[in-house]
Amino acid sequence: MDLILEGLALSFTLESLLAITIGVAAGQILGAIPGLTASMAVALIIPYSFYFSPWVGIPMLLGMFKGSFFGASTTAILIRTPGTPAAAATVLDGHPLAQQGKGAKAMKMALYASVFGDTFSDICLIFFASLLAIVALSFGPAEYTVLITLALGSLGMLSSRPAWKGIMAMLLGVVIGMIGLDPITASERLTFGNPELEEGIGLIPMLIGFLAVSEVFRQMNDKTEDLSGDAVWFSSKPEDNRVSWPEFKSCVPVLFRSSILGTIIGAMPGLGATVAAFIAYGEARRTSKKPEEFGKGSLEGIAAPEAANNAVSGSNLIPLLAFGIPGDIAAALILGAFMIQGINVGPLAFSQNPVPLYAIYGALIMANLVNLVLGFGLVRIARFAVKVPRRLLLVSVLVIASAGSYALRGSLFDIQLVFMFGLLGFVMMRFGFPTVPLLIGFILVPLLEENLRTVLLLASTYDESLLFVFQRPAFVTMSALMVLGVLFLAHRRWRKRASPTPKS
Amino acid sequence: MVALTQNIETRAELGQLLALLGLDAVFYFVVIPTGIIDPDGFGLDQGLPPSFSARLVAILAAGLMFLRCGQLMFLKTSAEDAMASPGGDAPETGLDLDSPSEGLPTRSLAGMAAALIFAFVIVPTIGFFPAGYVLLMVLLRVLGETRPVKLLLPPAMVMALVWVLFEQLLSIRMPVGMLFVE
Repeated sequence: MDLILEGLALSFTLESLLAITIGVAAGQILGAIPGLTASMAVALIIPYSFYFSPWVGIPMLLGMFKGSFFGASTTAILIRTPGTPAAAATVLDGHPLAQQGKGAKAMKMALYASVFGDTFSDICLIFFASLLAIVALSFGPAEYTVLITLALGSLGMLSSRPAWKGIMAMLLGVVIGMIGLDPITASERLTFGNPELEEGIGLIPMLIGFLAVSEVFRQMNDKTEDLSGDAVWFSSKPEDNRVSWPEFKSCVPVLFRSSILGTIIGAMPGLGATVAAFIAYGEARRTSKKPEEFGKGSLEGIAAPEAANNAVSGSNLIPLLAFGIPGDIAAALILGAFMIQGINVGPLAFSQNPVPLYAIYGALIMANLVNLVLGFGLVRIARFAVKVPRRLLLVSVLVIASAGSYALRGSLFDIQLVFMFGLLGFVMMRFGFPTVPLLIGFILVPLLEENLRTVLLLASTYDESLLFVFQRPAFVTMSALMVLGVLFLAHRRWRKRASPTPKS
Repeated sequence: MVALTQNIETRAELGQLLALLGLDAVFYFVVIPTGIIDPDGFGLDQGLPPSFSARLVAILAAGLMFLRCGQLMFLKTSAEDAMASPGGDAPETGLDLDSPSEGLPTRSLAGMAAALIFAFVIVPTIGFFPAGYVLLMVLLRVLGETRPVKLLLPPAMVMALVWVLFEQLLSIRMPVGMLFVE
């Protein structure tokens, strides 16, 4: 107990609080800029954090990491431009709500869900770090293959009608995801000798191009008088600018489910916040009592991806703190900062010197509270920022988006890709092909392919038999759950068809 | 009248399917063989060959499109009906995010042309900031702004904001253009 109090005392100082406030504010602003990811925000602040004591620098870093997730949602909601890839799923319901004049409501729901997901995963981190890490580490390529197949299958339902167009869009995303080096043989695929393509297509140009630029091109054809008005209008009704208690209460089950999903996915190396957000969105739609509202401004559709992507931020520290293994790039950057500040993490740290770990826990919880308070300020600033003429905002998005896409790799090619994808996205929209399944296919398929082919390689060492996967308890459990899920869906569908009276 | 509209929609969808089947064939028979070279003697014992995934995608796409063609021609005539094969739950989603619109989008086409010229020609030549300024002015004009002050001043302010943010605060050097390379 003394050790816990000693650790908390390190993080609950005035300097730490100030550092967290600066970190969260900087994270929210940087996160709102298209192209600047949470990892990039952390990388940008690391050089500055070394000028301070560990318990100023580290809390600032953690605050920035958390703040960037909510910042990214504000632009996703208001101008359909996710600040980071993790906020891409928030566009689906956040932007339609903003178009109805309820942007402030959408942003506040995103804020509550972000803080909820963050706090949930931090509590899991504090109480179950070692346990969850063991579960997560029992996942091998076979389990990942099942999990991603499950995700692709359920997310396929996101497709608009007719369904074949959504599936075709997803397959196009898969093809774009294959460009670059083969994950097993490292031979070039679909690069046609262009060295810029060897690294593969970046996620940032894809997201900005398909979601933001194509939308700007589409809106350019609106009437001139509409384009000279405000970029985003806000309803004057109080109920359209806040989340009421009954509305929040109705989202609580989704918040819990999505936070659990985000926590589990975050604890697994390699999946990350974007995957978690899309999976949680698909799951929320599947289990919702009002699935028809999804895509039209459903609060559950905002709560699910926001809770899930923020839950990843806490739980991806689980393998880092419990085993010293970073689960993603942001965690690796945080590990680097820990090491340079002289803070040891891993199994020995829990038994030999746990005080810094408790201080980190304290800083994480504090960062959530600061994120909530500053989030309200950001909602107000965002409302003011979008009160510019719509045509100016539209064309500014093009320039800022191209700068953001250049920033990540310093490649002019990425600027060109942004506009080419914008063009492709516009053409797809004109012919009724949805762009979201394309992005889902692009995000998930490299992981699926790598794991599937690793399974096949492993099978060749087991007398070329794939049956070895059934010796793995995690695989058997997941497969059983998947089969049960499919049977449940089939049964529900059969009952719906058998029922003669249509639902009102 | 409804039947006529549905017939037109069905034909339009069949046209899209045929065009995409042609593209899929080009992808399978031309793009994959030239774009993905499988290492000699590569077999299942080393995992799957690099071209496997691309071929699988092309085959799946073709199968799906043939299925839909068959459905349109022999089973259902309405393009409004959601297909009952993979993804048949789609109507429940209500996710019609990207609905097609009518008419020739002249301003969108002009905007796209300006943006592509910006990315492929102007930025590499004169650099990001002057090019961005020109793009903003041109697009504002395309979108109906005629007042000279509103055409000149807001783009300068936007570019100044981008310069402060990226070049000064984040130390990210934007492209300078071949004309200004020292």
